[in-house]
Amino acid sequence: MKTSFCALLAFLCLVSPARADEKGLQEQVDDLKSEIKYIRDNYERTEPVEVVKPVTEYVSPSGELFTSPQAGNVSPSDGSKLEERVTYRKLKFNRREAVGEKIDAAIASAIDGHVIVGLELVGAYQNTIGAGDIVDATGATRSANRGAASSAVDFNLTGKPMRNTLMFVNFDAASGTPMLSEAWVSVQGPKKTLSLQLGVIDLTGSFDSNKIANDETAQFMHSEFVNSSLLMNPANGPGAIARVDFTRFNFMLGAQNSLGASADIFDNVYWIAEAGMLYNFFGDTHLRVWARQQPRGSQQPDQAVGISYDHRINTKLTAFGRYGKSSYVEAYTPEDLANSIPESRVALNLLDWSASGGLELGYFNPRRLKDKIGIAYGRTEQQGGASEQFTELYLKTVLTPNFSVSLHGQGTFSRTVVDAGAVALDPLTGNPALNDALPNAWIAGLRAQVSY
Amino acid sequence: MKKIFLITLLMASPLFAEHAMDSMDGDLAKKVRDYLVIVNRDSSDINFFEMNTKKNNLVFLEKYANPHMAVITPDYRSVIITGQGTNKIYVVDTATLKVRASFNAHGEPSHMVITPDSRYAFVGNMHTGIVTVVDIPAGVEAKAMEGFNEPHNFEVSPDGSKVYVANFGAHEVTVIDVARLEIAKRVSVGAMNEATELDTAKYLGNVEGVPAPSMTLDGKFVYAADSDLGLVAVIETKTDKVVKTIPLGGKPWKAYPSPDGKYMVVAINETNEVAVIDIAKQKLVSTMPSGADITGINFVNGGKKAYVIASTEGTVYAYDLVSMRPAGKILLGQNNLLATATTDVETKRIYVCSTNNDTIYVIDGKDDKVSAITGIGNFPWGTHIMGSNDNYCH
Repeated sequence: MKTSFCALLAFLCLVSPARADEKGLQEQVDDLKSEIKYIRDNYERTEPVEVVKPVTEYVSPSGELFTSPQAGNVSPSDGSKLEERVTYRKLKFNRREAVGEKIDAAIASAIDGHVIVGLELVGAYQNTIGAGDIVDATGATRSANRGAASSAVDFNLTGKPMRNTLMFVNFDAASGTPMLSEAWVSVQGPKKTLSLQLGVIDLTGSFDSNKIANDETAQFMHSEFVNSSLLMNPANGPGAIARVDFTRFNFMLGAQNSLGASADIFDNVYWIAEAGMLYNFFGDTHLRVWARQQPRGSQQPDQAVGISYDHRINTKLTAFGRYGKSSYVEAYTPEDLANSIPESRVALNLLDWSASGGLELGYFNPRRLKDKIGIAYGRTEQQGGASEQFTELYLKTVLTPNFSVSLHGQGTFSRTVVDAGAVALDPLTGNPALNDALPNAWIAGLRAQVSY
Repeated sequence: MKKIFLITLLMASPLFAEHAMDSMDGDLAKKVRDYLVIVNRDSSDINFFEMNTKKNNLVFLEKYANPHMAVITPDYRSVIITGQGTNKIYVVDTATLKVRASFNAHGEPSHMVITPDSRYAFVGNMHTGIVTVVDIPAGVEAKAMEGFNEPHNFEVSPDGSKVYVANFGAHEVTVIDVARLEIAKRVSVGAMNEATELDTAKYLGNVEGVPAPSMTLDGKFVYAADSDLGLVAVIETKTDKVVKTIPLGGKPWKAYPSPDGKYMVVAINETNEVAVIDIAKQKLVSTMPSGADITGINFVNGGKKAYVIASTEGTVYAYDLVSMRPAGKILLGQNNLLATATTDVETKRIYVCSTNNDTIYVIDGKDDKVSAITGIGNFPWGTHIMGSNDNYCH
């Protein structure tokens, strides 16, 4: 018992200073906590974020400003009527932004306020195959298989001078000297339903479009698989396009001078209208119907109508179709009584109709999802009865998002009675075979496209 | 007789207590179901906005909290909030609307999922690749799980046994075994499908992998969109294997399940489209044009109509999912920067966050009529409604 008492006493003697130390320690911890709290409450860990916000304000004629609506919409101080209006204020918030967010915002701001430059370079080599021999002008016999190289260089400048407004300038440098190809401004309404595009325009960029057959630099190369030749593709010139877009239905009306930029813009106006519709019937389909009128100087203008549709049959397969039909076109000469020349009407050997269709296969290689295979067939017939059929097969591989190459095989066959030069095999090369009299022509080609 | 009465009273008291508790829970559930929980990034608060009375109930977290997402637990008792600014996770008690617990996360805590038993929340820390497992009843961190690449979003299986983690910094969905709190499996959503070696700048510059896994309503499949690969992988949850890959092109962001369980609608940025996938057939049925910078998709009218938020256009695009056609555009405001939206439980209307003008827009699914709720806090970034099919964060 005595021993236990002594042990307890000794324990208490040891514990008492420890308790005192504990108390001191607790005070220090409390002080530190208080310090941390103070720092947390007062230290600005980062620059506050500045945000510009639209705010509604209520202002009297004398400029007295209220930030909330007032009873009776009048100033409580002088009873004058208040005007409700929206203004913008710079506000500061305690938002911590990651460096990445700040960089993204800076880049977005820089892009918004400046012109973006785009560059596209397309090179193609095509060679006819299996054409046999030909006797040239000198009387020598040589192979009819000829090769042709072509290139296209486009510089694009894009900017946003105003909200819902786009400026676009395109220079075509294919001939070596950059030439202005397009220069227009497009303005959209606030709901993006109405828009108007004005300037030097390329109507084929907007009308008769198609998801898989509308770009000779990235899809099919044959001109009939880019746009219907019945459009008669006027040279780029001053004009305008008005659009109404209800997302499912859209309508466009375009007009441009067909004689180029130097002519009176209201002279020889080329008109075109198009109605488009999206629907889903065994896959997404976009159908467009267009009608155009082309001026012919003092002659009656000629007209044409056409359709262009694309249909996504399933994830991998998309089909397209085009058809165009022209009105009867003739050259008219009135009767010349003084010289006893009777009235004359001569049928012009212009295209009567054209039709084409094809398929695009994508996503066929799981390791190269952006690669495409395209195959198409078409036929054109002239009013004089001449006709030709044509086909194209291509395989495009996308090496990087900026660089792709494609192999093309083209054929024109079953030609009947063709005027020399009336049919061009390819928009990039013209007719590398240089032999329109041949009933069949086959071409192998390689195309490379670089775009930024 | 007195003895019998006392014994009866004693025996009945737990029943009374239970009934009283049930009643309390019922009241709480009713109250919570009426909340539109608004996450205000710049005012660092959460607004428990009462939809019926239009009353604000602001819960301030702390300075710099900059909350990113808030989710109500299935038992209605708590709301878990990620504070990106303070690198903290907050637990708010729904009965008192007070912060019950807060603790440090592991860098940029963003999105989360909560297990059906309200036991755990799995929170992704984008900065460190750590998944914080929150013990919700205790209000503490239960575990910090490593081994993820930007764990961006989550799904939980209906039985609560597995959590699916989308790795935005990889082309992978990771499966967590909830019972063991361990990684159970890693699922690759697809191989690189471009010649990566020929495009060093793009592929070593950044990876935009899987932003979010999306579970079908029956819990049988997870749809994982991959932005870089341009596809959606369908993962069967029974085996956790990819059973189908659906190529879409562009930069698919996320698949959103329709409330009727028929479709997954995928937002595709870069090409500005939405793709509709038939869940039963696992087939793409439509790809329709949309707007720029899509941040969310919501469904109304039982899934017959979809709204797509084109963030930087200040516009919501409508789609008829019966005819698979675009059904118009709703301009909410010029210069408005939209974030995400939540559909109400009845799928009658959606609540869209418009960040820079501090407004919630309400769109009626019947006639697309728009009304605005203002004065709800600064920079509303996201919303949450208990029981909604469309609770998500961007």
